[in-house]
Amino acid sequence: MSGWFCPEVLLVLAGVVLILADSLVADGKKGWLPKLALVISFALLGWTLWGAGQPMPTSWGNLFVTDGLSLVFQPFFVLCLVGVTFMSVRYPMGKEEVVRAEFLALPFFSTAGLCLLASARDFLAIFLALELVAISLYLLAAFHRSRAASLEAGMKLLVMGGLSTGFLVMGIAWLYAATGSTDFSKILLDQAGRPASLAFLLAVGLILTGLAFKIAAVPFHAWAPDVYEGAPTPITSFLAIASKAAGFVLLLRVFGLGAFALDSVAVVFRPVLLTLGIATVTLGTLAALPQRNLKRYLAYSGIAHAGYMLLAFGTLGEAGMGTLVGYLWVYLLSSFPVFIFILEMERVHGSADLRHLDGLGQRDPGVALGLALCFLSMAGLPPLLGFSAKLSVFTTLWNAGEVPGLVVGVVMAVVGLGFYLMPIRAMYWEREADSIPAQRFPAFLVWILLMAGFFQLFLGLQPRPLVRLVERSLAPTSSSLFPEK
Amino acid sequence: MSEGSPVMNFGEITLSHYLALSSLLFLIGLAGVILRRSLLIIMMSLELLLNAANLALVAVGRFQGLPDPQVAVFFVITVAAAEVSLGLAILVAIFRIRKTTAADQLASLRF
Repeated sequence: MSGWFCPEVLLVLAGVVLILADSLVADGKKGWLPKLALVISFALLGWTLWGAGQPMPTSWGNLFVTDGLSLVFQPFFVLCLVGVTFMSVRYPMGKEEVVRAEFLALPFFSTAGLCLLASARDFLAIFLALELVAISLYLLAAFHRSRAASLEAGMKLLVMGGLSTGFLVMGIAWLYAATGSTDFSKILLDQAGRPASLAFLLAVGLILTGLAFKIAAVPFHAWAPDVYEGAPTPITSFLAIASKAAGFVLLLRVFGLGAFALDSVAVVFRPVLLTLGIATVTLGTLAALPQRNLKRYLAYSGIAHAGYMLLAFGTLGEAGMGTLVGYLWVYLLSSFPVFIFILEMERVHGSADLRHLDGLGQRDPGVALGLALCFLSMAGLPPLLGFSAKLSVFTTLWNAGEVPGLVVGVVMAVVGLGFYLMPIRAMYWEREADSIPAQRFPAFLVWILLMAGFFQLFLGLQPRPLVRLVERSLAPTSSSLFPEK
Repeated sequence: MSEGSPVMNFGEITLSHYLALSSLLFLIGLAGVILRRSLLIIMMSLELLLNAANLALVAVGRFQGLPDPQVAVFFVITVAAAEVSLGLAILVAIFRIRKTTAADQLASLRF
């Protein structure tokens, strides 16, 4: 019974309601639609958090499973949805002051796909959920039709997404050829205790390539900076955080817990994952240094973060998986506030150029402080939240005896420090630009950023809640996210 | 068939033939996406990638006597149709602004 009230169903319903409301309401009175979307998304977040405490059935024809991982990541994705909807309310779209209902509704569909991904346990389900996410995102990235950059971003995302779909479907076809099934447990049963055939390894490689596009791992990263820069800023944040997290959740599902959690696969793919991680960290950090646009800057920062996560996960152990889950939450908490700031910066200054940060420390001390804390947390400076994440990546690598990955990771963390200090230097040590815009940042931005900064500090000093989250996520089939009362 | 038969005998067509053909199609599609300049042809190549996979799925289903891969093909076809219609819509919008469909003209986003 309760299966009908799971977040996925409610998300799709909410999206449909928004589109219907748009077509039923007269043209002049649509101002409340964005607010309605925001209220619905908050309600859904509450529902998901409450639902995460309830035992849920493992149903839907064995295509989906409800376990710790899905209970931890459904709130993650719905939280991203709340952020995107909040930003969409503020997103200026040319002459129309009010955003279109489709722009508000499509993220709901996309989030439904993300929640399905978090609980999928069959490759066909993974394929469909991934496409539900991706096709909504192509449309959203290209939504600002009067701007060539937005269309270009949509096109690039579509071509790259199509390519990744091609690899995934080909992988599924070879998986059928090798094992005769796409069900995780059947694959595990079929392949357990015998050497992997060439066809099976090919299937794993093709599926891994498809996922590497989604997490923008080097050498499949080239689309990310362009798409992030061109897409509307709310969508950029969704792509950077939710879509990337989806790729990692899938990696966890497939390689960590599900179909490919086999020794025969680990032997071949552990070095592959670690090499991908090393390349991704290095390129993400070094290519970020000369960037002048804050959105591109965050794209490369995201690539570097993906590299650290890949390094931790590449050890293919319990510790690596836990680190990945924790790191994803840290990434969400430290980057989302920055995206909200970028949106407001675009409203005030008209672009996301780094030079608009000059002198922000004197002009808007609250905003600057919160932003600085977020950047320092991303850099991994103690005692902030990002430090615990990086430290746990390094301990994982050390315990697994992966010295090359550890050395590259530490060196790049130090280089990356310089790159995260760049905006901070601009805010506090640069003279203010000659032309100060008349518009000021709205008051709520100060509160959001200060709260985000406080979270970095508080969770950095007291990471117990996050640790508990990680423990819950890897419990085999936990029925509840929160401890029993 | 006897030794000196005028009709050439290629033997029975097996699953590996289909898989080889599908891999070839996949590589052609991949090369098309990477090398071609026109967005229309890039999108055709994307379709080729998915259809290569479809061929493999159908062949596997037929030779192993499984119904699942045959059903999967329908999902893939549906998704491919959605993807390509969206791609064409974006292409039309790009053409209205830029008057071109060449991929290397899409360079306003560059460092």
